[in-house]
Amino acid sequence: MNDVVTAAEPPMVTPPPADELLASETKHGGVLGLGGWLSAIWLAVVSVAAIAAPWLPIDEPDITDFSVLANNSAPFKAGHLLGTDNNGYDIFSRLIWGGRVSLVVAAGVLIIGMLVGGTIGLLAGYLRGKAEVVLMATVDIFLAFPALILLIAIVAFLGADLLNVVLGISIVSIPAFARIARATTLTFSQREFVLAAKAAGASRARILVREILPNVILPLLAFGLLVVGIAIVAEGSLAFLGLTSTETISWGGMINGGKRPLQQENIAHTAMLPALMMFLTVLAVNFLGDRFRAAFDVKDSAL
Amino acid sequence: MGILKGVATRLAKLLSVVLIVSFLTFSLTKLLPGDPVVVLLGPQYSNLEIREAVTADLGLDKPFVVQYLDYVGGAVQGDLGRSYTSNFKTTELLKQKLPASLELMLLAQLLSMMISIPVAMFSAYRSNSRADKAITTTTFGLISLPGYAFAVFLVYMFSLQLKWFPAVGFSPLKDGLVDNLRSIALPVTVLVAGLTAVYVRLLRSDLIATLQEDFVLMARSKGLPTWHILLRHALRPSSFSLLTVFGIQFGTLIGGSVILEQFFVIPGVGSLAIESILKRDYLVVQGVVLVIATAFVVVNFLVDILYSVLDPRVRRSGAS
Repeated sequence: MNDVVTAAEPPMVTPPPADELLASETKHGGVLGLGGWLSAIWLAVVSVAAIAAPWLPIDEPDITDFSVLANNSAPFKAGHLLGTDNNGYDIFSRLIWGGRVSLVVAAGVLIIGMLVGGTIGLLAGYLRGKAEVVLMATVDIFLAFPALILLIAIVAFLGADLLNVVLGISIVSIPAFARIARATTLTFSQREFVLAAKAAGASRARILVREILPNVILPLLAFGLLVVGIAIVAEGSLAFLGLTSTETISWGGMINGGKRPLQQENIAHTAMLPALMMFLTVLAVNFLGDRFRAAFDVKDSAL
Repeated sequence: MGILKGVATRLAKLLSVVLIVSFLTFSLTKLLPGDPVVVLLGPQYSNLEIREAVTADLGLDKPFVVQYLDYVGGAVQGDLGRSYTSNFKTTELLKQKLPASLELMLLAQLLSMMISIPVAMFSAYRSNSRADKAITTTTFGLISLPGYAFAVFLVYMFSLQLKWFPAVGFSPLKDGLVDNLRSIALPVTVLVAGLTAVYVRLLRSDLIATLQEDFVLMARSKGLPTWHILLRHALRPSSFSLLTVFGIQFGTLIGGSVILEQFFVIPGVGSLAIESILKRDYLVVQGVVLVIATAFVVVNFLVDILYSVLDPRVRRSGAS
């Protein structure tokens, strides 16, 4: 997808690369630039650890340590850095493995949401007329459904494996992508370079792909980061409600697994550590998204 | 006259959205695998005669469109069918479960408005001060805090450690106000935290823009007190996006309360929805989604009307 962007970028509206955006923010916001870098580093660490989980020197995430099961599950004891949960599973290891699910959900939703939602919005915003009315009416009707209930229904009926969870969350997030893509397309479709391409006799498809798409895709990606945060939380919600496969290790599932024996005070680490993990990750994603969006807004008003 | 016409168009749009949502829910539940008669009959399903009799009794042998029209006809008269699993009327179930959910949502919306309006005004007035930065940072953090993560923390802190509130369970209003409030204090706190964060950020940035306007400068140069300017001059023109989002947040709230109702074991519509989805109790699922979607559309319709009350420009453009 990146190749398309660089190949088709019209020189006058080249969006700045990501690190330049952060740098320009630093000039305005001071401390905010630091927060952006911290967020990026945190996300990088979590992602790399998640990808490399099978090869890391950590305990198996789904093997019970019977020696600690009965009494000693607290952090820093019995050779478990963050302790063990009620099943005697190593929490540190499960936190790392749980990141894989969040990573898959984030990537899947971003790709499907941008492809499907982006296409719908692009077409609606560029074609206008009847196509726009029909497409956007469909989107609005989808938005009238309570999202989480729709998601639960999709997952309950399709089956609770990870692929269906990703599909479900993507379906629910498509309307939002479509709306943003349409709004961005509308602002660009009236610009001079589109007019110039039209005057030069470019076909509609060519204008859409070579002139408008490159300008829409980065703001859409910035918005996508916001959706990624929501998607990670949504997957966690499903796992938390016990609606996803129990085989899958997920932060939401860990929070729920720690929750059940509420009276046991060890939820302090069994449930609150995965909750903290999820909070920090969503915070980092949101923070980066916020920086990117702010950068694009500044650019929009400057142009 | 113009307002009436605007209201009429919006009402027509509202009705069509509700109809389409009901149709989609209906077809979705029909398309999905699983025969409700199996759920209803259990082992008796193998008896062909009984099976056909029950299928006919439920009207499931009729063509799809007829079934849908029957359903809509019933819904208009307040009949949403019976649960396949418990044989309760769907409307009866909803009547049982709605009060807890409504209390949760309305209390959360009310409290978060009461908190966020003064906080946002303070933050906007003192924008870029240390207090404002603290407020902005806190609200940003709260937006990124998943409700269930916060709920776990609150239960650990205030139920298990301090023992101020019960960890789970719901005590209905008729059993006493204090017990009722104690039982929903934690879930309401979770909802309020999320809502307040959204509202404060929105209203703050709109207020900052409004405070740059000439009429605020004018008011200030007349020597009007700050609170008067904020409350009487700046708040109203800054409240439109807040109002829109207030309506939209009802949708988010429904999702939030589904999770919190499960976590805190509150017998609300959210729990009803999850249970009936898992039991393949289609008529109840349809009823719940229909009621929720209708409520959501109606709230946003009312918000639309409120615009014209708050903004004379909208009123005038409606007239032309």
